[in-house]
Amino acid sequence: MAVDNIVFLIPILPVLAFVLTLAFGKKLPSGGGYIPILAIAISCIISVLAFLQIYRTHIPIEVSYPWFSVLNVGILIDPLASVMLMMVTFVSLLIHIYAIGYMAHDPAKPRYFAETALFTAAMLGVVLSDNILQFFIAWELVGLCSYLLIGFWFRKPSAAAAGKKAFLTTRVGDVLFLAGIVILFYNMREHVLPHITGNETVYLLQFSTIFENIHHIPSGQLTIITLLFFGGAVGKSGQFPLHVWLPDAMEGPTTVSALIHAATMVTAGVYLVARTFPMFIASPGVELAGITIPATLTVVAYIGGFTALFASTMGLVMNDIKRVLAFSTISQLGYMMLALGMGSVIGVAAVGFAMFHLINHAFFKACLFLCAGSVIHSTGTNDLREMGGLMSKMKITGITMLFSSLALAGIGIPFLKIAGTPIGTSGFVSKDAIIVEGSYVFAHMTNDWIPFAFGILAALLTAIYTFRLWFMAFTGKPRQERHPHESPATMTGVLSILAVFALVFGMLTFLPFTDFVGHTYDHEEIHHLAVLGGNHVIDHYELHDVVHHASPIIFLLPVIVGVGGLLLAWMIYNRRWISVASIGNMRNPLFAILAKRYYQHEIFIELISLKFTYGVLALTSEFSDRKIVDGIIDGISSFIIGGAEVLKKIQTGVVQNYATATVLGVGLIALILSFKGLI
Amino acid sequence: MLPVSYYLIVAAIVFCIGAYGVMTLRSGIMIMMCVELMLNAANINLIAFASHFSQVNGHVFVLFSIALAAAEAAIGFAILMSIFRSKNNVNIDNINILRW
Amino acid sequence: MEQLSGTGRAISLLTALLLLAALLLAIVSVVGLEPLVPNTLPESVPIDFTVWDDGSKDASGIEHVGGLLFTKYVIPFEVLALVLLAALLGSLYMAKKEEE
Repeated sequence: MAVDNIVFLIPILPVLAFVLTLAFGKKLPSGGGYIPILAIAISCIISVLAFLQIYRTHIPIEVSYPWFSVLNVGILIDPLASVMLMMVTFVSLLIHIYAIGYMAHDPAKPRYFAETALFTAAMLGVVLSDNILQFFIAWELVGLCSYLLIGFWFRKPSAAAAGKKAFLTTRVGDVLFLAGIVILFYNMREHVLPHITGNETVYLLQFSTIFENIHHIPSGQLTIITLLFFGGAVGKSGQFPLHVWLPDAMEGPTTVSALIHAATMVTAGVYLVARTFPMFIASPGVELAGITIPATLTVVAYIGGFTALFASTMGLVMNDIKRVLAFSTISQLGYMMLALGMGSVIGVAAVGFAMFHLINHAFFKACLFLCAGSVIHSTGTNDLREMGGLMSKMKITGITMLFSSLALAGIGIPFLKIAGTPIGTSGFVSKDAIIVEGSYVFAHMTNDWIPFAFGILAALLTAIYTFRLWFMAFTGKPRQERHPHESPATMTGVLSILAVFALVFGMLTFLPFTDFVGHTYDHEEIHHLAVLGGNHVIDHYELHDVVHHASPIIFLLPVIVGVGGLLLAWMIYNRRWISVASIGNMRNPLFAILAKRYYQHEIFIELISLKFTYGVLALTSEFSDRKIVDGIIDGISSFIIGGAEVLKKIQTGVVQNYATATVLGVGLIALILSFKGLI
Repeated sequence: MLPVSYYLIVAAIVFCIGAYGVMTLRSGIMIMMCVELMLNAANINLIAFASHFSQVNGHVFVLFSIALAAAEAAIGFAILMSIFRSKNNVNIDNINILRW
Repeated sequence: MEQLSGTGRAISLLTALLLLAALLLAIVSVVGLEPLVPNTLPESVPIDFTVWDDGSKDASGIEHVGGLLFTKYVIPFEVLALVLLAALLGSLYMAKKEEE
């Protein structure tokens, strides 16, 4: 039974749901929320069927329709896409079910469900694309839906501003991405098209075509292309410096934050890098106009690691429950980019690790966001300082949030492996993989310990702020003025499912997962490409060898920092052995910098936008346009009008003047003719 | 025998005097006279060449030219009479403006 | 004589002088100032002077003019008559005194 014929339904059904919900939502119960749920459920089932087929046969599903002569519309489901598909549809389904309960009192429910359905369709379009242009189109659509959803309560000025900020910031990334596509297309035409022989149509921007012909593209160009693609990923996945939109994006409903900013949209950037991984691994460092640009994967690793650390420092001091989770998302995305960056040493396994962390993160972060939504729903406030002692009233929420926090902090048991799988929460399994089998191996082989340091420090801070959140919200004295209650069954059911996944998914699927995703790039000779990129990629056995011979401290370090962070948070926020007020006030300069988010608002908006771009560039351009360009045009026209005023005077209307003119003309003709006769 | 160019030069001078007169004079009768001057200058030209080359064709053409000049003068003066009747003078300043 | 304003007169004078210069230049360049050899045209009607009864010669060639006028150029002659007729009638009509 070939799933190939029905895979096109996977993105189409949510689009249909979008249209139907928009049209009929008002008349249906629950604002038409059941239509997207049904559509996404069917998409989920088809995705699972596709996954099973690929798991059995190892043949990717490819469906392609011609569009322009060198472009096509197509679906590609290889192992990478299939796992992402299942995650997206499943998490989206759960969050839609949760939203039935969460958005129950909101009058604009049809619009919400329509927009989330469209968003799911767009994200599925991103995952399923088989060429980079279709990928980009769906990517942009995802950005649009994110704008619509962040600014869902658009009558609130801060929400509208946040939506605008998100769209514009990701737009910066999108422009870089598009520039990368243009340069890629140019290179494909210049360097690859001459090598294409045969009669069948070859689509230049299809991934398969690109990957087969990477060796034809000059390496300098390849580095530029991949850096530009990474620029797009930086925008979408909120890496430094384009991370500024994610904390503000918490203005949207919490379910939106869970769907978009935990599980799906922000992971599109990671998916882009994973999808075009052969190009990334084949990009060497280049010398361009005297500047040395390092190999792209190095850039990815550094920016990812730095973001992981940077965002976790800011998450320590936030008082809004959702903002802590937002910074946590940025930080974890940094981890995923860090994992991908390790590919310069460990090859395709990096894709496996990054995607594994992505999927685990989707589960526990979505669970955290939905728990936060449950807490906000019941207490009516976002501020952590107003919450406390919720455990007694909201048991399910508390326990699920505890499990997810354990997963986020990466708590697990080191050294113990039952049948080859590590024991611990899914966050432990995936983060351990990234830190030990990723950045430690990288450091061991290249003597570059910076990514490893980033990873460990960020893990420590992650544990601290995660449990700070949990302790501040669920333990301590309950507040009198808040009357918390447990959320309805639709919401707690989803929380439980996600929490279970957060706990056990990592353990159960670690080995087969990385293996399976590693098969994605079986066709491409990754070793060849890596050599092109100046990378020395070690194979599987060498990887196990290095890990096996690492000193035990390396294995203990993630757990030490995780448990250490938990204890630190317990001491400060639960037992209050160290007073928060003594270190957490604005007089402490470290705290002040963090609380002001490193003065980014001041730098980006006040300095760069207002003073420089507006004051210098915009006003100068406006001046030159008005005075110079308009001046030239007006000058030409006034010159002509003036000339006409002068020439007008010849037409006097007096007949004798015309007779004079006639005689003059005759005389001139006679002169000319006689001169010609002379000559 | 005088060089033929002398006659031609005389004709040219007469023609230019006539042209100057047409361009500057205000009285209608004077303009008619200057037109006759120009015509006669052309006739001088014709006769000079005809005599010089002992041709009779030139004389015949001149006869025609004179007859036509007379006809045209007659009509011109008839028009001037009409103008004089309405304006009581033959000053062409009032009727030489070709606009509104 | 009334004439145009000063500027108009100056321009007209200049124009007339220009025309004169052009014509003189043409004459001098084509014909030259020396006497031309007569009878240099190939097809010329040879003039033989008419001899009157008293033996004197008539150098005006008026007999030949008349001959040409009624043989070779008779059609223009008749047409000229019609033109004169038309001019006569036209000017008569235009110059007639209006009946009260």
